[in-house]
Amino acid sequence: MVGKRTTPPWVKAALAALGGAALFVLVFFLIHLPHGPEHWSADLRTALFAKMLDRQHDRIALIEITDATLAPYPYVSPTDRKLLADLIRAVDASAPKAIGLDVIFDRPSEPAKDELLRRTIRESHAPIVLGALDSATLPAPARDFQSAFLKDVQRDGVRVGHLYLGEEHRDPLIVSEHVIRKIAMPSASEGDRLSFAEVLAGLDGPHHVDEGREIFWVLPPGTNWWSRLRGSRSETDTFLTLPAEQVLAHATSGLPLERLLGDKFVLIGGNFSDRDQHLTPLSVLSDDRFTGLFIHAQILAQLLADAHIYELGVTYYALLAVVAAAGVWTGRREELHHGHLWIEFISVAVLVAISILCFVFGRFIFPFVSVLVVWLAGMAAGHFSKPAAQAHEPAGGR
Amino acid sequence: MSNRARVFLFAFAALFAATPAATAEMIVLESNVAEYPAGARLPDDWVLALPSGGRVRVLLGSQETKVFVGPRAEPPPGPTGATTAVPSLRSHDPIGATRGERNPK
Repeated sequence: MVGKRTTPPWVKAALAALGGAALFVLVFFLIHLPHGPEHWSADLRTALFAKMLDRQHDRIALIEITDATLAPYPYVSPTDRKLLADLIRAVDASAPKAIGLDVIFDRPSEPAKDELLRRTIRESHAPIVLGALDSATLPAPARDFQSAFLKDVQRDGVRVGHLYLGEEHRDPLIVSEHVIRKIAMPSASEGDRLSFAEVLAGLDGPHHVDEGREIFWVLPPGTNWWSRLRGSRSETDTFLTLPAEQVLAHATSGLPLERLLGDKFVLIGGNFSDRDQHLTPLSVLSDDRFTGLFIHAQILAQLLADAHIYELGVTYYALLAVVAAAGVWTGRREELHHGHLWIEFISVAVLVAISILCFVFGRFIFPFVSVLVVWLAGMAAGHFSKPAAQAHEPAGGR
Repeated sequence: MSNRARVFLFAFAALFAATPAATAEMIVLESNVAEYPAGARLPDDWVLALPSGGRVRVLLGSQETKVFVGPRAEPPPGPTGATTAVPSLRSHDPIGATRGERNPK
C-alpha cells in the first residue's frame, strides 16, 4: 500500500517565497515603490525641515507679470514686448547685479515692439540672461524666430540659459506625479546649454551642481516645522516680489527701485493661474503650485549659497544589502519571535528619526521607504526561512 | 556750561523728543480687497483686516514684501467693508483649457 504523498516543506517554502516575491514586485510596480512613497516622504521632510531663511533673501528679487499687469493690453501672449522693454529699462536703471528674463521668445509680435525689445536688451548696462527652449522641441517657425532673436540681441553680457525644470519622468509605464525636485540637466542638443539659474549664478563666480541635482529648497522666515505641519504659512515672501505694473509705475508710486533692486539678481517672469505653475516638495502639505520663476529663484539661491542636498550613490545599494541582512538575522532570532510587532513599530520610528536627522544635519536624503521595505522583507524572509519546528511553534511553546 | 546754554540744550532736547519720529510706511503692491487698493500707503504697523479670500501683498519699510491672506483680524464694518469679488489667484480645479480661471460649474 502506497502512503499519501506529502509535499516536502522546502517546496512549500519555495512556493511561498516565489508567490511572495511576485506579489511584492506587482505592488512595487503598481504603486511605484519605492519611488512614489519615497518621494512623498522626502517631500514631506523637505516641506517641514528645509532650511528656513533668517530674513527675506537679500540677493534675489522677483518681478511678476500677472493678469493685472496685462489688463490694459489687448493680448496676453506673447507678453507685450514694449512692456518687457520698459521693465528692463526700469530695472537696469536701478543697477542690479543681473537681470534674468524667464520668458520664451519663439514668435513675433508687433514688429516695432519686437525691435524695441531687441534694442533695449542690447543697450542695457546690467548683464542679462535670457531663457530659451531647445530648438529640437520647437516647430520650424518658432525655432527660426527664437534663433534669430537670440542672435540679434547678442552682446557681451547677454547670455542664454534653458528654461526646463527637473521633473523626473523616466519610466513611460508610470504616470509621473510631475513634481519638480531637481535642477534640469544641460541641454545636450544645444551644446550643453546650462539651465537659466546656472547661467545667472555663473555671473557671480564659479559654482557647481551636485551629481544628484536635487534642489536645495529654502523656506521663508517666520514659521517652524510644527506650525508648518499644522498648515501655517509665513507671511514673508521667500524673495522680494514686486508686481510688474508697480515697477513700471515707480516714478509716480514712489517705489524705491534702486534700494529694492540694486546689486540684486532680478528675475522677471509670469505668474498666471493657467501657465507655468508647478508642484514642488513644498506643495506636499498645501497643494500649492509655484511659478517657474520662483523655482528658478530657488535654484539660483542654492547655487549662490553653494548649498547641496546629497543623495546616496552606490552606498545606497550597500545600505539596502546590509539592512536586508540585518532583517533576515532579526527575523530568525527565536527570542524575538513574540516581539515582532513592536520591533516593526520601533523600526519605523527609528528610521523616521534617522531620516530627519540626516536631512537636517547632513543635508542628505536617507532612503527611508526603501530601507523600511527591505528591513521588513528581510525580517519576513528570516522568519519564514527558520526550520519548520521553530517557525510554527505555537506561542508560549508547549 | 552756562545756564543759558543748559536752557538751550534742554529746549533742543525737548523739541527733539516732541517731534514725532518719521513713521515707516508700507505700500500695498497687490490687493483684491477694496479697502487696500494697490499703491495705498499705510503705517508700517497697521493691522490689515481682511475678509476670507482677501489677499494683499505689501512692501514694508524694512524693504521686505509680505502677503497677508484673509480672514485676518476683523473685517472693516459697514457698506465700505464689501470686497471686490475677485476669485482666488490660484484655482485648485484642474484646467483643461489654455485660458480660464475655473471650470464652469
